[in-house]
Amino acid sequence: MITQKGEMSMDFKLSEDQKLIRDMVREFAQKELPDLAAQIDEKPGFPHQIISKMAQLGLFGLFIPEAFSGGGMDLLSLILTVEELSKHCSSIGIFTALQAGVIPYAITRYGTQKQKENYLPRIAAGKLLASISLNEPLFLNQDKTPVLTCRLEGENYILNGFNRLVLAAEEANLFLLIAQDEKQQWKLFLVENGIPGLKITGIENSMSLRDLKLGQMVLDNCIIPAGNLLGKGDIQLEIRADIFETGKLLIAAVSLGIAEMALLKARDYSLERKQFETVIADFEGMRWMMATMQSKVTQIRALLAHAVNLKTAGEPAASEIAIAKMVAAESAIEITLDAIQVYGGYGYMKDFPLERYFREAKATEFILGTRSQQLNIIANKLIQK
Amino acid sequence: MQFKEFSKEHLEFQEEVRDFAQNTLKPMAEDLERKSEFAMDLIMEIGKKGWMGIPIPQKYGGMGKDNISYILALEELAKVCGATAIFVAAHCSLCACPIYYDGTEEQKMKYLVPLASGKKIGSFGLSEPNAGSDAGGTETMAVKEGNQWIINGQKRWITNGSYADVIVFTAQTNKELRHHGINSFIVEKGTPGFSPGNKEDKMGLRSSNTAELLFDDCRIPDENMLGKEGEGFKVFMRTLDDGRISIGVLGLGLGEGALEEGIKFAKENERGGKPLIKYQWVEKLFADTATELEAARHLIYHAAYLKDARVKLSRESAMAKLYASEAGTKACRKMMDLIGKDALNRLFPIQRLLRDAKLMEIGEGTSEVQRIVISRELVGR
Repeated sequence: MITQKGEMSMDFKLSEDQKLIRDMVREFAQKELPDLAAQIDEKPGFPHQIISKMAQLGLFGLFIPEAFSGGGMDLLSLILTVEELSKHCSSIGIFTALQAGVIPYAITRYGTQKQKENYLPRIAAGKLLASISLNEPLFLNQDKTPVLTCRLEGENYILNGFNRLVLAAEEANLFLLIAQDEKQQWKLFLVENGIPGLKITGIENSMSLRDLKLGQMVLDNCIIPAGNLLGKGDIQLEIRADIFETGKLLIAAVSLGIAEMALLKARDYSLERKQFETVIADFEGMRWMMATMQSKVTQIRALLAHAVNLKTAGEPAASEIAIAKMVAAESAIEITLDAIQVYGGYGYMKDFPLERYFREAKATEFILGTRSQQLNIIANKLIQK
Repeated sequence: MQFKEFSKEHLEFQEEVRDFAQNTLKPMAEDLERKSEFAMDLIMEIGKKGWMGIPIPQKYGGMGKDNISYILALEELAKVCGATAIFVAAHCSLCACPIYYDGTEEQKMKYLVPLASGKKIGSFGLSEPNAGSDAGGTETMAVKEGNQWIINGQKRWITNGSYADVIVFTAQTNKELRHHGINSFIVEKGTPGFSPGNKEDKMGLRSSNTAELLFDDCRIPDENMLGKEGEGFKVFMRTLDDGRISIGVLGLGLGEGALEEGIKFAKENERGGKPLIKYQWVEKLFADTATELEAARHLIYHAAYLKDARVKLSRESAMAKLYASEAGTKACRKMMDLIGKDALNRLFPIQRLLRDAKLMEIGEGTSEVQRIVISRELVGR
């Protein structure tokens, strides 16, 4: 709920540590991000300075075990972090979801001791920037031709294929990629940027996320040492799903952050803007619209809290996570469109961040699975029961 | 859909505009958007075709067609380019039409003829920084001195503002009377004391020009008042009643354009080895969207028909605008869902159509204002 001070209270039951982290990130985000967000939307460019400040604060290592120079915090702490960042700059939120969440989770859970030692401290320190494709299907077509293939040759794997919509493709140093071998077995690889055969061939001209640049990556006979195979070898697709689930919770936190900020701006504006000789917050039409926005924010938060709790407890949560991710994005889109509506003509103009919030909310819908992909997960779980 | 009121001429004209929209305008639309500049060459071409004065009688430089024809033309333009469509809508519905309906014969000969024949560009200045939904709160002042009016104030979000040669605008002549003290005037580009101000940087409709209008002791002759003194509020309320049909049809056209893009995408793509069009959720998406757009189309055409019948249509035009603009945005959103991750790519027109469509829920009265208009018509004030 929004309190009089404009603060949002959390419906998650937070420990003192979690509160400390949230408050620290909130303060950082309020100070550093609002201007940056507008600036990098207009003139796309990788925000190196902010990224290094975040690394200094330890934000990228929050979720990494202490043994590997991380903060050893839980998933909820990272969720809160991403939410606070996304209130002011969603692309930083999304980047953090990958850098501090998806990749560290995959390496910590499935990597070898050597991989953990090699990568996790550098990721925590922000010296290694890690990324994945935000949405790449496994297959090219109905013949089930894989998008990316691998084959073992001596000590090395040879990778061929491509990945699109790779976040920060030019700037990232490390990618987590999935490839299929001749025996139709899946393998996860940690692939370093700049190796021979790996090329970034194009940058999307996209509606949002313009600063971090969504790139297309082509792998042409890339030689990957066997040591870069994540874990011990063949994986089941359940492992990829597990990694994605962590990511989807973080992306739902991005949607939540955008939605909260849009509501806050709409609320403040409705108390300032006078029409018909009174502030527009006095009109029932406006009040109910904002009440509906608030109820959607609360729904996102409740769904997210429920799904995070299940995931943290190690319970099966595929359906709950799909629901939280889908509803969060959908509601964020509706809330940001309504916030534009509260602002009227001003909302349509780039002088105000409202139209940007909408473009950002729209992006959260496809990242790590579109609405229809989530619906299929939910339906499959339902029918299996 | 074909209304029984549609004559062969209507259908031929619709076909003519559709041909231009699909074959000339559509291939240009992305480029116009990227440059975000007013496309003067394109406007000249549209003017030469007579489409800047479709519902204006031939003796005043127009094509002498009815409002149904005009609305059909806007629909075809909006399907491919919201910015071009709103140029025509603002020029014609908000500038040429009020001069035609409320102007003196001299005003019509002097201003309407060049507007309708596409030799001059028109614009309408109503909104102000503090007078959006509440147009009665207009702060721009007009003070009489001899046979001149001295205008001071600022207008904002004025479509075609930087390029207009002729601008119909509103100003207060007596602040105590509030909205009854509002009168409409005509000002020409280049009049001392009048200048266009900053251009707006918008979410969508990016090649359409939106600007401030600044009045600083601008003197205009008495004969430039549009309508009788004291009736200015009535003039612009009727202008808005008519204009709303044109904004509504833009929402409708953009939604139809989105549906066309969605159908094209679904025919060309598959998911999991199955063509998209074979999925039931896709069938539902298309069926629901097409049904809503069809309902919107009926409301719009009906309002245009009432306009031709010269019947009061405040309620019907507000309903048409409310429903069609919301149906348009919804259709764009649904088709974006269908196209999925590619929809975010600026090379796909769908995201432009959605950004364009959102304005139709805001411009010429937000959806909230339409609901007030409709309700007041129902219960009486």
